[in-house]
Amino acid sequence: MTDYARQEHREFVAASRAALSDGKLQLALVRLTSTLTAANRRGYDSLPESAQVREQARQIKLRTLANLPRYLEQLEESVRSVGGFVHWADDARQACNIVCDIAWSHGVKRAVKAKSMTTEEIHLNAALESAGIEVTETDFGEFVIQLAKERPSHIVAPAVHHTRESIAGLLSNHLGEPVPDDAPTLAKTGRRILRQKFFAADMGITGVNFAVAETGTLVLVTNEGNGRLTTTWPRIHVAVMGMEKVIPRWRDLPVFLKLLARAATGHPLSVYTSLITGPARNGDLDGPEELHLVILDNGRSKVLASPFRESLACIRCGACLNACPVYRRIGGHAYGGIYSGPIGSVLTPLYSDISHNPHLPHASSLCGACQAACPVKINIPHMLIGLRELQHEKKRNFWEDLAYGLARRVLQRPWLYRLMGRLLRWTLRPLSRDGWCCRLPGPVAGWTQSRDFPAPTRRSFRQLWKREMKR
Amino acid sequence: MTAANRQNFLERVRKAVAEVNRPGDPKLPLPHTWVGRSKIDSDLVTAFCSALQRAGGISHAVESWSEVSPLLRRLIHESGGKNIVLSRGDWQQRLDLDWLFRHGPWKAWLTPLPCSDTGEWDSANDNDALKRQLFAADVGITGADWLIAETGSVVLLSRPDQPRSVSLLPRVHIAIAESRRVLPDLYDLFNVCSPADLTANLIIITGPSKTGDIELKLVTGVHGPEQIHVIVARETTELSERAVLLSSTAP
Repeated sequence: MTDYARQEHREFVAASRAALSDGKLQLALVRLTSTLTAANRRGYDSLPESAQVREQARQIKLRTLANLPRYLEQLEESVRSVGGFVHWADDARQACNIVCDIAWSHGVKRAVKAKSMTTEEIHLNAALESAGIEVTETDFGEFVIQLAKERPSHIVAPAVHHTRESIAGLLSNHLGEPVPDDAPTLAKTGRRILRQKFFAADMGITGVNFAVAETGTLVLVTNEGNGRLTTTWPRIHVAVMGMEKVIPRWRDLPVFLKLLARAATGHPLSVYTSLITGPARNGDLDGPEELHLVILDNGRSKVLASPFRESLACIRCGACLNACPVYRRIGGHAYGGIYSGPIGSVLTPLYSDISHNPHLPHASSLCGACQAACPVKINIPHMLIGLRELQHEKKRNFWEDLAYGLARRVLQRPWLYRLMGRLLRWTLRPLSRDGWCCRLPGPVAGWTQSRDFPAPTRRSFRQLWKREMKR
Repeated sequence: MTAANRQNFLERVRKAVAEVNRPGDPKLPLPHTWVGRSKIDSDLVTAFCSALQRAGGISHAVESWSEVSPLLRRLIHESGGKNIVLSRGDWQQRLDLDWLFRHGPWKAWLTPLPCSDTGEWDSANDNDALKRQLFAADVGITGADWLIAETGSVVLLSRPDQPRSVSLLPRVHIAIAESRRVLPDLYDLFNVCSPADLTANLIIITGPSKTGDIELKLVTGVHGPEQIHVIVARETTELSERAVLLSSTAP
């Protein structure tokens, strides 16, 4: 995921600035985040005892992670016993090679793909295309993104930054004929184009929302039905899952299904929840002949061994994105990783390298809205602070160290503290008007770039205190 | 190489887990609870119908099986469908569907079954023709293995007599079931359907195919059916007994 990671803090700031001055994007973000944030609350409200359900889900995830090897082996065994094949991929390259090998050995020419963040993470499309295989994204939003040669800007609404007009333009270009820009016609046109793709495809590629170790069931959640179409007629189904997606038992599944759609869109369930247990059985008229499950590490074991293990409990609902005051203003692309928003700020540096993403742990006001919205209550603010700590240990900043060293000395000596306070008040007084300093000088100018600094009071707290005591 | 790969992979995960786990961490899986199970106080059929409507589907609760056939006929007329495909199930034996197969300005057909001796399909060519036919269908009619009152969902297990395509490819999906199939809550599905009952595909359908990808306005029918109708026939005790008998003689 390094190909568009932002190497420097200023790149992030520049990308954020660009996003902030993009009127269309701002409009889309307001529409998206206000709709979905309200939906998230409504979703939890409509679920009885939602706090306990979320706690239950969280505990199942944490215990599964603590015993992950056992459940992965059980999953492998179960998938094999229903006739599927299991592959293990250490990293993105291996995973892509595995999928390309399956495609080659089966003479696959055309593949269809249902929306999957994991395959985005490993850049599977590029790998397949360079192997000469045509890949079509089939989620309507992802298809638009593919036509526009962009990447998703939101986990559940990848094309949120596009308007009706821009989508119509992309579809017209693709078809070589004008397409009217009303939503139903656009959807119908998408249906027509993609039906042909589904009909002709030999391979269907999906992600996995949950994998049940007990039964070998792969769970796929979509609203459009493209997940079903991808796994119904193509001869081969390849599912790529991050290894943290496993859950132990069949009866653990409803706990998560009850939460996922409610957190993401406020609905009690997504439209299509597919529970896939092996390839088509004897006598089935449709369904794939072969099923391959690729279990991916790609940095996850590193996270598993770190204090950030909890981040692997994420079920990719997107609720934290919608709730985040930073995401709500700058959108997904500015973050510079596959996963954006608060959880992206945690996952991207952890999966790759924190030195490649120095800005991400700071792309947050630590307000806690993400944790409040999270269906499994991941303590994202805590982890962002942890990442800042890690960053500091890895690369010390001379000026920062100097400032904190001086502050320590000042704070240890009351007389010095008093003196510095007085000095500060004297320096600030000529700079302030009507109770505020609007422009600070030198190295602290950044502070007043977007907000004012309160002017010092006439007397210090200590002076006031002394006077009160005398009375 | 694959075996070595697998060993390395699992070894790495084992080490990673041991790194952070503390002795005394809970080992056993969490006991199952039904926390958050919805309490439905109205009758299940009514609850199901209103949940389905909320999800954008169209529900039809009828008092007896005799009302199903005329209703179905009306729905097919309204849909303007010309190519109607039906999967098989015991629900069909309660209905007189002569009118559907013999008359009307449409072609109606049952999904074929594999050869009864071998359980296999005859040839790949046939399968291709069938695929074309299924992609061309505009109304799909199925039964339902279960209905869920909490969410308004239709649950279908894939079987030779109940292929996945019928509820997926046509513009209009009509599901027909009797009221005893209605479960109160999603939890109940995972209780009545045990791992041993699973087939290759269990689908939980909640409303018509939807997308919000165009400026977040909901549009239906982007990939799957743009309309889903569910007909629920209330049944008396006597009828339920008959249902048990019928299901034991179903094909």
